[in-house]
Parts: sequence; C-alpha cells; structure tokens
Amino acid sequence: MTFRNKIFVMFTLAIILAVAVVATGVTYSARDAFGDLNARRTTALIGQFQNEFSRRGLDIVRRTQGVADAEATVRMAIELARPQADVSLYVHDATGVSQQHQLDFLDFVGSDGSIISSAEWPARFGYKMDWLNQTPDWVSVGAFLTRMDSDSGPSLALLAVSTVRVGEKTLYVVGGERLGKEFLASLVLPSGMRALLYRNLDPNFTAANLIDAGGPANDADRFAALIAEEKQGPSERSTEIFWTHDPASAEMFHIMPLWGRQKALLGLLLVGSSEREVVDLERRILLIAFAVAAVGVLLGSLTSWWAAARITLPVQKLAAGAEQVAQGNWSAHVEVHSRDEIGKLAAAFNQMTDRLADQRDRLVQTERVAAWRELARRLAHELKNPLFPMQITLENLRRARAEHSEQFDEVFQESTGMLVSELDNLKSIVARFGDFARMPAPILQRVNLNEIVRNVVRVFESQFSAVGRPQITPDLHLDDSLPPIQADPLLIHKVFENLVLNAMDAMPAGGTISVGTSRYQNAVRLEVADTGAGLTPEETKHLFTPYYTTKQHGTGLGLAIVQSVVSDHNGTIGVESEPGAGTTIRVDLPIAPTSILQLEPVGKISALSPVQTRPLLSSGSEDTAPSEPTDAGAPVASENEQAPEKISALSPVLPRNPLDPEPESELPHAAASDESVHYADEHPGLPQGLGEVTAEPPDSPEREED
Amino acid sequence: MKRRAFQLLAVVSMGCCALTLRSARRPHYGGTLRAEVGAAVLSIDPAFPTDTAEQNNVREKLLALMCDRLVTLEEHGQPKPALATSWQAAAGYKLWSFRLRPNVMAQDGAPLTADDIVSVLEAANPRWRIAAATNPDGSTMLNIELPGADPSLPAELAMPRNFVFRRSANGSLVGTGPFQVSAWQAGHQAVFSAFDAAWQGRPFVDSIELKMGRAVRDRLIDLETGKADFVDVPPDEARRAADRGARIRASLPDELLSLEFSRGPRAAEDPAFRHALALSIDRSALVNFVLQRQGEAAGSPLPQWSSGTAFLFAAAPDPAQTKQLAAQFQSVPALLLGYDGANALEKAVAERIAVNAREAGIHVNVQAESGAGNTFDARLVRRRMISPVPRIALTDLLLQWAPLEGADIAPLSDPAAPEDLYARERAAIENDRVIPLVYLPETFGLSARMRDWKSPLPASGDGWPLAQVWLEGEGP
Repeated sequence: MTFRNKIFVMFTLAIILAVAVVATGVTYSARDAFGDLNARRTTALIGQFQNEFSRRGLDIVRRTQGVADAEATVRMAIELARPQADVSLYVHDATGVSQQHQLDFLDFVGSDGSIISSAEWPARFGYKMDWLNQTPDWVSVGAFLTRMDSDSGPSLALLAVSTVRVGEKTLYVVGGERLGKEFLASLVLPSGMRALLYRNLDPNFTAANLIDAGGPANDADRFAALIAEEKQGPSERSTEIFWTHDPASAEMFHIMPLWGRQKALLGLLLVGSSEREVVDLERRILLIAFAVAAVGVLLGSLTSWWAAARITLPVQKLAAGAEQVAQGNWSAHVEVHSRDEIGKLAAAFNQMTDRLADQRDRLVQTERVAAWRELARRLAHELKNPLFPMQITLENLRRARAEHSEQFDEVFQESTGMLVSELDNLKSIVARFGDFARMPAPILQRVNLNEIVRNVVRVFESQFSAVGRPQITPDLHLDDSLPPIQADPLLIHKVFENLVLNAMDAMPAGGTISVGTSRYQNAVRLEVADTGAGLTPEETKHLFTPYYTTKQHGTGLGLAIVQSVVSDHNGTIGVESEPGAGTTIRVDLPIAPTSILQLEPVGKISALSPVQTRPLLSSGSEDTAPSEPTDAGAPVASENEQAPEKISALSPVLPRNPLDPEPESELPHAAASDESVHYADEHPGLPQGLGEVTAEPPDSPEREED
Repeated sequence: MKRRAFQLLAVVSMGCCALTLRSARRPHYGGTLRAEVGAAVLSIDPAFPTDTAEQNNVREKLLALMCDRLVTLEEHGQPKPALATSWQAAAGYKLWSFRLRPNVMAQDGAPLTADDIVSVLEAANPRWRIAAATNPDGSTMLNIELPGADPSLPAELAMPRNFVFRRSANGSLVGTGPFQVSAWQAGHQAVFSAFDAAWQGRPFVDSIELKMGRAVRDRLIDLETGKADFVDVPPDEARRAADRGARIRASLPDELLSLEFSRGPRAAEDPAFRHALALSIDRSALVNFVLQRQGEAAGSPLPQWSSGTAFLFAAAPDPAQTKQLAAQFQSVPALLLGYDGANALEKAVAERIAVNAREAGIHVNVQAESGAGNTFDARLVRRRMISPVPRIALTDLLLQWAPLEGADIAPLSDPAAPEDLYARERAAIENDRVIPLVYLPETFGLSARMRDWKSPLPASGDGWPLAQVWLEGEGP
C-alpha cells in the first residue's frame, strides 16, 4: 500500500471514527435523555394516579357520608333500631340511593354486619360483612382499596364507610366506586404511555383481570409471568417487555403494587412507556450518522487524496530517487523545493547521492588499479617460475659456450630441451588463462547426460588404471530413464571432465569415483563423489572461488569454470564434504532452461547445499543479450556467439556496486590464515569474468578479446 | 210557628244529607272501570295460543268476564250450580247428567242451546262423550260419559278450560257472562260492556276499559294517580305500592315457583348435587325480602291452604349439611340456572339462589332465557294451580313434571285421602328434581272508588270479581 493510500485510509478512518464516536455519543445521550424523560413521565403518571386515587377517595368519603346523612337513611337507622324491625322493607333501597349518588357500590349494613340492602348485589341481603365490625372508627380510615363481590363477579373497589348510630345500634353505609377502566380512562396519559391495572382477584393470573382504559388489555397473557413474579414478591420496580423482535416494540413498564387495608395485595398498576420513540430516534441518528459518514468519507476522500498528494509527492520523489540509487544510479537527484522537513530530507538525499557517486568513482578507480596490479602480480608470479629456469639455462648455455666449448653441444641439447619444456610450461599457463577468459556461451541442443558421462569415463579409463598410479575405480549409477536436457554438450563434457579430474586429484592414493545421474524435480542431477580426504568447511566455502586451490600446482580455475558453465545453463552446483569422508559435487541442470545468460547479480554459493549460481557476466552490460532458446535441441541464436567476446571485453573493468550485497563467491576473504590454502588470486578486487590476458592497459574495457 | 218551620226545615235537610251519603255508600250501577294489566293478550279465543303463562292467565280472567261454566266452586271449593242447575252421577261416576239452566240468553241475543255447550265441551275434552237430552218436563239434560270414573267431574267442569260459549258467524266468541266484548285491540286495549240480559244479573259497572301490556311502573302510577281502578301487581311490588298508599289485595297463593332440573345435562343428574342445592336455599328470605312478604315458602307442591299438609315439608335451609354435601362438588362445573328474562321477580329469585349456593360452595350461574337453543341445567318455573281441589291440582303438577321424572304418573284415587296426597307430594319432590321455592299469590291494586271487592277462591276459574264491584261516585 502506498504512502498516499495509507494517508487516505487513515484520513477516512479518522472521519468514520469521529462520526461513529459522535453518533454513539448522541445515541447514548438521547437514550439517557429519553430514559430520564420516561422516568419523569412515569413518576408523574404515578403521581397523577395517586392524586386521582386520593381525590376519588375523598369524593367517595364525601358521597358516602352524604348517603349516611340523608333523611331516609337516618329514618332507616331509627326504624332498624326498633325491636322486631322489619329489615325487608329496605332491601331495595340501596339500588336507588346508589344511583342518586352515582356510587358503584352501596350497602346498608346492620349492627350485626348483616347486609340489609346491597346495590351491587341485591340478592346478597342477609349475608354478613364481618369486617365492618372490626374497625371501631371508620371516620379516621377514609377511603381504602378492597375487593368487592357483586353479581357480576369480584372487582376492585375504592370504598368508604360511614355510620349512623341510633342508640346502641349502628347502621353502616358502605359506598364506593369500581376501580376499573373508567378510572384508568380518567388519567391523562402522555403520548406513548399507557396504564394497565391488574386486579388481583384470583389466586392465579387471569387475563380478564388485566385491563386498560379500553377494557381487557390486549396480549394480557404476555404479562402472566411478570405479574406472577410480582405477586410472589410485590415491590415497586421497572421491567422491559419486548413484544416482537423489533426493539421499537419494547415497552418499559413500571409496576406499582396496590395494597388493601391489611397489606393485602389487591392490584398492580403497570405504567407502560413505549420505547418506539427512542428507538426511532436512535435509528434516525444512525441514519444521519451513516449519511454524514458517507458524505464525510466522500469529502474526506477528496480532501485526503489532495492532501496526501501534497504530502506524499516529495516523498514519492524521494522514494523514486532512492529506488534509482538502489538500482545503481548513484547520480539520482530529487527535485523538491519545499523548505520543510521533506525539503531538507530531499536536499540531504541529493547530497548523499553526490557523495556516494564521488566515493564510488574513487573506489572504482582504486579497485581497478588494484585489480590490474594483482593481475600483473599474478602473471608475474606465474611467468616467473618458468622464466627463472630459462634464464639459468641460457646463462649455463652461454657459460658452456665460453668455458666448456667441448661440452657445449651436450649442454646445448640439454638447455634447449629445458627451454622448450619451460616454454611449453609458459604456453600452458597462458592457455589456462586463455581458457578461462574465452569461456564461450553455451549452444543448447538435446543432450543425453548419461552419454556424456560414459564418454568422459571412457576417456579417463586409461588413467584410472595407468601403470605406476594408484588404482581408481569408477562406479556409475546412471538413470537410464533420464530425459534429454537442453545443454551445450561440449561445456557439459568439460564440466564433467573437470569434476573427474578434481576427484582424481583428491585421491592421490587411489579410490573410487562414484558417478550418478538421476531425475530431480524439473532437472537432472549429476553427482560425482570421491573417497578422498574431503574438505574442511572453510575449503568448501571457497571451493568455487577463481584462483582458489588446495593443490600445489593448481590454478584455481577448474571449479570456477564448472560453476560458470553450470550457471550459464541456469543450473545449480553444490558441495557436500566432510574431512576424511570424501567429497560429493552435485550438479542440477534444468531439463529445459527458460533462459540462459540472464544478467543477474552473482548470488551466493553455499558449500553445504546446492545453491543457484549466477552467470559470471556482470550486470549492467547492455551489450550482452541473454540467449533465448528457440527450440528444444536447436542451436542457440547467433547472438550467443558474440557473447564470449563481449564477456572478455567487459569483465576486467566491471567493479562491484558497493551498495550491492557482497557475494560470498566473489572474492576469498577469510582463508588467508589457512596455510594449506593457496589463493590463485589473493586480491579481493580481482574481477571474476577475467578475460584473456592482453598487452593492453586494463582501463580499456571496450577492447574486445583477440 | 216560624221557629218550628225552621226546625222542620233543618231536620229535613239533615235527613236529605244523610240519605245522600247513604246512597253514595250503597252499590249502584254505572261507571266505567279502568283496568290495566301487564300481559298483552292478542286474542281472547282459547283456540288462539298464547306466548306466556301470564297471557294465558289474563285471558282466562277475561273469559271469565264474558263466559260461564256449567259448574263453579264456592268458597270452600265445593261445586255450585252455574249453567247447570243440578247434576247426578251414575255407573260409578262414569256417567254424569247435568240439568241445564233454562232461558239463558247469550250476548248475541239468542238463547244458549245445549248444542252450543256440547260442541265446546267436546272440543275441550275429546275423550268425553257428550249428548243433550230433553226431559219430559221440558228441561234439557246434558249427559257426559267418561272413559273412567271421575267423582270430581263437577269440579273439573269449573276449570277455565270448560268455559261455555259459541262462535258467531264471524268466528268471534259469544258468551253468557256479565260482560261482552264491545271493542278489542289485540295486545293493547279492550272494552267490555255490561250484558244487561245476563242470567246472573247485570253487573254494576257499565263497562270495563282494559289496557294491556302496561309496565308495572305505569300501572302503579296510574293507580296512584286515579287513572286506573284495577291493576295487577307483581307480588314483589305489592308491598312498596301499599307503602305508597295503594289499595293492594292479594289472593291466596295459587302459583308455585319452583326449580326444575332438566334431564341429562351435567350436574343436574346427580341427586346429591340437587339435594345440596335444595338445602342451600333460604326460602324465607325469598318470601320476606324478594317477595316482600307476599306468598309463602314452599316445601311441597301444594300450598297449605289447598292440601293442609304443606307444613310437614321442610323449607328451611341447612347450611351445615349443604357444605358437607357441596364439598364433593368443587370440581363440578357451575350449574346454569335459567329464568324468564322478562320477569324481574324470577331474576331476583334466581340471583338469590345463586348467592345461597355460592355461600354453600356450589357454583351457580344465572342466565335469562332468551329463546330456543339455550341449554340450562335448571329453570325457574311458575306453575299455577288449575283447581283448588288438591287432587286435581296435584295431578296436573305431576303430569307436568312427568317428563322430568321420565316416568308415567300413577293416577290418584278419587276422592284422594290426605295421606295419599301427602305421600304423592313427598314422592314428587323426593329426588329434588323439582325444588319448590315459594307459593305466589295474585296481587291487585284497587282504586279508592272501587267497592265490594271480594277475593275469589284461588284457582277456581272465577276470574276477577269485577261483576260484583261497583264504583263509588259514579251514577247511572
């Protein structure tokens, strides 16, 4: 993700987060506000209920007292106080009086508690209201809630009791009103609220006993559990009921127990407050929040995109500059004109690249000089050995000519023989350098690796069993089902030849050379193992380094050439060795390499495991085009034939990029302390793609190999 | 002299005043009696069915004004001559001969014939074989052959179903009674005019204006305001009307209000349940409070004045035994008690029964009968005695209760001994399928100007004694 995108995402997330925080805060605030409002409304409604309850109670007390004070009632009391009074005369009186005073309940009750006349239940005359005699002073009691039975069933009543005393006899006047839907209808309910009354008239919950202002409450059964719980432990509390899955259908109910005279639970007042308003408000807030967030995201996107562009453009330039530096363009510059930190950073970057370029140039020059010095030293060292005998021979020949003329012929013969021998030695040295420099590009064709192996072994058979040499036994394990590969047969032949030679050199006392081929993933594997002394880890580490050798007279180029060829075939080479346990060289060659001679940096070579080697050609050579295989087994394109010349021309002048990772195989580093190891080239800056030695100065990279 | 003349004038004046006052107190003819009843009678013709027992009762009373029977009952329930002047039985009370009163004029001006009597009695008593015969002395005999012995035939002939009349050409009834119908507006009002040629004599009043279908309240108001001379009053309203100053007269109770259990439904089939309910009912409270002391608590089918054995039947509640019995019926569904919704008295009684039962632990729901389709466990039923003769009255009740019992009723011996009557009464209510509650009287309100009201013998078929009353202050 780009820096711009990161800024955009962060900016957008910040907007969404801010909107979410605001929306959440508003939602919670609204919910709290509605909760407080509902609580206040509920409290007000309960207060209204209590006020109405008290007002009606006082009114009932007044009306009941009015009935008691009426002339007819007093006359009734007087008549009933007489001996043998006929109470049947008054059995219908309560009905008419109750209608006059608009009382739902009116009972005239005698001193013994027997009902004389009952308006609500005329047929109940003669039965007792024993509870009337239990309270001596009804005036102080006022109105109270009680259960009253009538011909239409039990009901909840707000009653008052007045008395008319005549002598020792008392006439009780019990008047009251039914606490029902009319009472609830008299309450002024705010919008979204309702009041329910459960009349606790039956032991178990009865739906018909739950009423609202319109009569029996809807869905009364849904209250069964709630009311049953409240009946178990009556207390004033609130609870929420969800009528449907929709949260807007929820109602918060405040429950208030209604007590009778003797702490009997006679009813429950349920004040319901709908949650619809708050839920709708929350939804509106959420909707607005989403809309604001959407607009915010849109505006934020545009703003952040613009702002990010302003902020990140210099950073992008810096990143591009850094990328150019990473790719080797040390002269990259960043054009930033701001004076802020980004501008300072760009200036520092430009200054840094300038200094790096300068240091690189000086380093390259230094390295180049050192490389040519080392090459000269090497050549001098190599050439000095044969030249010194030649010089001695020529001096002996001159001395024999002057001092021992009679022996001159004999000396001449010996000297010329020696000179020829040393000249051959010189030619051999020059040839080896030449071979390394003239490493040709592979010409791919269908190759049977087993056949190459057999041919090489056949060539070496005479040497394996030569007289005077320790016996070397070849041991072949060739996979006959091995597919042909796309490779250069001559180079592969050379690779195997070098490996066999190395193995023979590793077994001066004789031994067994095991050669095996096999299929390994999309490649064929060639393994050459000897039973020699093996290599130390340090030797293994530098085994493919040019001019590194463990032999007295080796040039250190054999395995370097092997690695180069394998790399040119996009193969890998690895070494597995332990001191005393022999060495195994493992070469994997792709069956059909996609490309060869790809210009990639030289990679690491692991001594302990097969690694992907790289071509010895250095990167940055625009003139060296990779070879494109045109067809399986077909000869490579003609451009490849130009490669060796370009290699030899380019290689000596190619320095390593100081910013590139240091390839382990490029130069030997740590083996100097090991006396058993002799570097063919002890200088670390020696170019790998060393071309054929010429008399030209080393600072002529464009010069082609002769 | 002059002084003597003044003294003589004063004496003569005082004598005239005394004569005037005396003449005002003496029965005299004239005047229109205004009567109001609650029932709305649609037709006075017995062949026309009535909707309610009350309508039927009023129609019988109206028939009694315009028709006669062969025999009526005197105040002790014994037959006395009417259209028949004498009678005799033969063949073991299976063959009866009645000598018909001669020269009885019908209200259409033609003499009443024996054939008229035969036709109407045969229609009312299909099993009788009736024939008229003329004696050598010119008198006419009516011979009745019964399918079985019936010593009480004269008393039966006094029953309302045996009114004698004939039909005119237009189908209207023509009787021989003291009044004749001069105007008839079905269900609303009627005018009965005095029949001057009535064999028993012309009634005092010239006519009776009858308003039908009047509400109790309206009837009582009209009575108290002098707009009515005679109204029928429900028993439970009689006392209050009397308290307000109305003249209230009540007959001996001749109507039984009882609780009758239907056969089949639910709890009504359990005798113990019915017995528990019977024991729970406080009949005295019904009489004292609901009926306002009009009527009698009923423990037996027949009232005391009729059978003389009613006091032997317990009518008091037994709360202890009731609760003991009711304890086993806690899970029994509530008994559904039906009553006539148009009758406030029945409603009050039904509700009181429900209260009594509830206090005893029995669930009773009361519901007004609103027509066909209702299935009640029990009903409040009012059954009027058809005769003051206990055997006849009891036989009628037993016949009506027979469907409840699901068994035929064995005929009562005639004449029936009191112990036999008692035993049959006891048997009739033994299983509590019928629970007698109260005996109801007929109560009337009379205006202050109506004189010589004599309560008739209950269930005698004599109807209202309006032919004997006269109106004070009215003159010819």
